[in-house]
Amino acid sequence: MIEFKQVSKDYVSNIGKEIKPALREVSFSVKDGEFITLCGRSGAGKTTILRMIACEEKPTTGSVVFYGQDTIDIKEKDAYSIRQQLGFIFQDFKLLPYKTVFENVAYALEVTGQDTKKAKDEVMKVLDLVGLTKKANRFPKELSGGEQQRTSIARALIHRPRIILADEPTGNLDPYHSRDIMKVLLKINEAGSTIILSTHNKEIVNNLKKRVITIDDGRIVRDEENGMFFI
Amino acid sequence: MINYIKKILKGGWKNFKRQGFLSFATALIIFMVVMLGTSLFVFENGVQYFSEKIRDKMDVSVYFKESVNQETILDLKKQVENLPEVKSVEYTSPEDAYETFSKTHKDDTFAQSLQAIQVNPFLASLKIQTHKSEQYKVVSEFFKKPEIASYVRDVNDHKRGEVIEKFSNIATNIENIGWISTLVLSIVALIIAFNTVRLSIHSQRIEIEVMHLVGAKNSLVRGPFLVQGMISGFFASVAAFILSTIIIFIAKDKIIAITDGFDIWGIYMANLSIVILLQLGLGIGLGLISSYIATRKYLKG
Repeated sequence: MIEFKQVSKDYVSNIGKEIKPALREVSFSVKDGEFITLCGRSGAGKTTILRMIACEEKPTTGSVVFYGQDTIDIKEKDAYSIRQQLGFIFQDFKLLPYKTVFENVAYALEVTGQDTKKAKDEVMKVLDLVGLTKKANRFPKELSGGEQQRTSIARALIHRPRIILADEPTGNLDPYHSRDIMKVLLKINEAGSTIILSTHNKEIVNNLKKRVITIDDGRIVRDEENGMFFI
Repeated sequence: MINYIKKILKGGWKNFKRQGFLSFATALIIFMVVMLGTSLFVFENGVQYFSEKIRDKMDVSVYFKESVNQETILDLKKQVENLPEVKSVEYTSPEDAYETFSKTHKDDTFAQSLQAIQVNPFLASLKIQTHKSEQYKVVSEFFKKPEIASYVRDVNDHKRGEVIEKFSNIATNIENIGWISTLVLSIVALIIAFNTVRLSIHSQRIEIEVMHLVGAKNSLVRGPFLVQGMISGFFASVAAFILSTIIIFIAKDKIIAITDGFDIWGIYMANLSIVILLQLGLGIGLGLISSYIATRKYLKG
């Protein structure tokens, strides 16, 4: 379970050292197996929330509790243990360009100390799930946008994470591929994984019929089950 | 643990192979630094050779009166040799001096005039070299002792003193310039190599971020980059060794001819293990340190 308790985050701009608040007293919790959509305009604070869950950012005030552990107490060099429990999906895919599809997916296993040779079947199974078995030996530049995103999803799934963080996963995709990706995410959620999706795609939010948290200017303005897109 | 190390080594090697151009560019810069390091090594030896040569020419010559017999002179030679400041003493008899003069001046009128008058005007002499140029004073003082001074016609220290000091200063200056330029060029080379590696890693900062986000420990992110840097350094060193060996081998005879005896190939071969260590150490070390510093920037904690 993840809990945000009165979390505020300020950034200091490089020019003029001006303080820019990204989040203001945000509180919410995420239960195991939930599918939550963070919805809001660009710059509303959605990505900051995801980065805080991944221990990439620390709150200025308040606390983020990850399965009973306050992330403020986790040292940067030890944050990998939290990240190994997460699966990350990015808008720009963020695949390793010099690794093949297979190696990109296997890398997430490698970092947890698993032998990739032994886990070969596991990788192929996940690639099968996202429909990329035949492209296992291709490099990211040889794939379409949708295929790259599916590789990114496979990477996020391979180590069976507790939570999947999807930051605008359909932002760079056409409607056809977007629907495809959302189907995969729903399937993963049905299998028991918690999903936190950040998006500003109205159609996706309205079709999901899941919990929607709407953020505006760093504040939560709505948090409702079976929510709709509202900005 | 062994698997972990194997994983890092394999990752570094794969990165090196797949990032062909980037690896080549890094290796090329390290290669230039290693070549520069090798040139500086040869340059330092050259400077030492020439300053040694200049110092070898700095000696004190003591000329003895005609009445002094060879035995006395050889006895004095022994005494001088026992002075701790003295490096070498060479005795030249009047006959040897005459012969040397005749040989070197066989075609000019001086030798012909000497032959005509049938007189050997040369005196027996001792040519004395000291370990340091300023020690020639000890030698001249030795020959000014009253019991020895009566044998001596001339000690040329008062004429050569200034010249000796001048040459000594020149030799010291050449050595100092050699060291300073070695130091300055080494620093410049290090900065260039470091920045090249840093730029190549900067271009991969997003990858580092991704590795981080999927939960890789700092050592697993950094490890392959360090290995990659070391591999680039290794290949750069091997290339530099091959090229420097070929260049020195081809140039050896010409250098001996131009410099009147500087046997660069002999020095290179005599110091081969040092050269190889220097090149490998410089290449691999540079790749490793630059990669470490460059990745540190992107790895928090």
